[in-house]
Amino acid sequence: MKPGWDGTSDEELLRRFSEGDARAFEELVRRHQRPLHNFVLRSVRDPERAAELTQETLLRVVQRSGEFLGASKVTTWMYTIARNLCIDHGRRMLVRRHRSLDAPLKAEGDGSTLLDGVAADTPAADRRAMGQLLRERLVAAVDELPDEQREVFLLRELEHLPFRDIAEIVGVPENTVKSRMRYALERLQRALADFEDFAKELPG
Amino acid sequence: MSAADCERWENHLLDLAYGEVEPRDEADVRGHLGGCDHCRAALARLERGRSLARDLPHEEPPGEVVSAVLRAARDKAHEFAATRHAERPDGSPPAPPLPPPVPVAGPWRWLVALATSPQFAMVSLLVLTVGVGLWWFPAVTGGPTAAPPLLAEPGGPDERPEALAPAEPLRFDVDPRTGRVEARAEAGSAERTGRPVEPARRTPPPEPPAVGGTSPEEPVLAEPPGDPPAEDEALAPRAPEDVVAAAGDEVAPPEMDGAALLPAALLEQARALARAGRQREAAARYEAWIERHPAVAEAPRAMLELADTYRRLGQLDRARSWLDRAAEHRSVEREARRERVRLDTIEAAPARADRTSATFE
Repeated sequence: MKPGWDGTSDEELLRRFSEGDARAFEELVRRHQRPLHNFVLRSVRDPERAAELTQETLLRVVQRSGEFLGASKVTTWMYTIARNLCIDHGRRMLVRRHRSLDAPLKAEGDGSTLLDGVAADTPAADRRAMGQLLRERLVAAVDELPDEQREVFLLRELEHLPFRDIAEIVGVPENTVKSRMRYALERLQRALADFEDFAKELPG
Repeated sequence: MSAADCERWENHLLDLAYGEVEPRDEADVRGHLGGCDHCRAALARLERGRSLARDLPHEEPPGEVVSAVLRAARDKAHEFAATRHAERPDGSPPAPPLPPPVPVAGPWRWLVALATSPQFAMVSLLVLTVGVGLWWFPAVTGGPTAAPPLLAEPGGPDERPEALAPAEPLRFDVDPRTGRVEARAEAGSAERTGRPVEPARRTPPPEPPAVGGTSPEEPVLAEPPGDPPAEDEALAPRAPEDVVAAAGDEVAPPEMDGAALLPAALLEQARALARAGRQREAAARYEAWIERHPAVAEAPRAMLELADTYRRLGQLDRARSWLDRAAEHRSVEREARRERVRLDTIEAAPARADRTSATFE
């Protein structure tokens, strides 16, 4: 972590940026670029489009930073922008890509499918390959979550936002957010039950 | 214990799984868990799900994305600095950026955190707004000392909040040399004793005609003929004769201290409603605000936001119409045209739009 900004809130960084301090915005980008990009990526499931939307989100924050009044948190504001862009993108999609058990695991398509992975669940399976398979299966399971559960799950697990802030972003009561999060976790647990013991042994 | 009995504990289980259960609830939750197999199993599933979620791979955004953003941020920072420089009365160069703040340690930390919090700033703004209102309105109207409700909800497009109602037109003059408002000594005193004189309604500044506004559902706004006002006109200092002409304006002279606070606060109300998902109310507020403050610098931005609000409501014709109006203003022209193109694209995918809209909103 770059020294000097520890303990400085996002809101203070944005205020400093609006006074002309570009370094403050660099710190803001450093803090949030990765979770933000992954939120967008898992929402639109298209790496190229995700890069564009991540960039557009951050550019909007740059352009409109002078209008930020501090009525909400910077993260709440930024993820609201990102979420709206993702929804707009979804609306433009005539056909939504559904990942199924028979769909290729990677965009470039190495031919393996989730079914292959399940079938290859043998004690001799290479540990690293199993870890990779688990992650791919996890991504697929997250993709399969209903939209309203997936966005709550991603905001919580990627950016570690409090449920209260997530409620503000998605515009529903906090208890509804918590219900969606519970359903999401239980679905993931069911979808990945085969991997649980293995996941426990994976290095963090 | 049945599953139905456990419903009230479900969200507490999630809090427990994330270590965020309220201290006051923790003993109750754990007490319930001690005697409930159903909830213990549910908690175990949540914890296993959470454990799995930690393996979700995180990918870095492409380097060129970050570079482009940082480049734009540096440009914007220069713009901010230049604006601040221009605002300095002596034209002196801006101070270099302050070093990162040193966190305050010790018992005063909470006080510093409170004083620098956005909530504190909002409360200060509110107090300032109310204070200005209490000071200013009675002085202008000569009425009772109690201030009118400053942030009253507009009841409809034709009903303006009390705080925005114009002062009786002959009760003050504007000094053309200084632009200062002076209370008129005698004029209008007769009216003050009787029923308040109905103020002359301000002719709204001309707006460009709405493109595509043929639907009966289009917003109906007074659109007197004439050239649209230049975008920068609202920001430019007024010539003395303009000040005189503005004496009967609904929101009296912009030169008066604090006069811009109320429109800003009302616009912020519309934005807050939109953020809270109350889009219909937000749209009504935005429309009323734009009608009353068409020359305020924020008006083009408000038009864009209103268009976005209508888009969220699925009223694409109205959204399009407001985007077209916004596009007449240089400051937001590009953004408005880009949004217009996006809107047309959205309309081309109605089936998907309906589905996603139903899911998310």
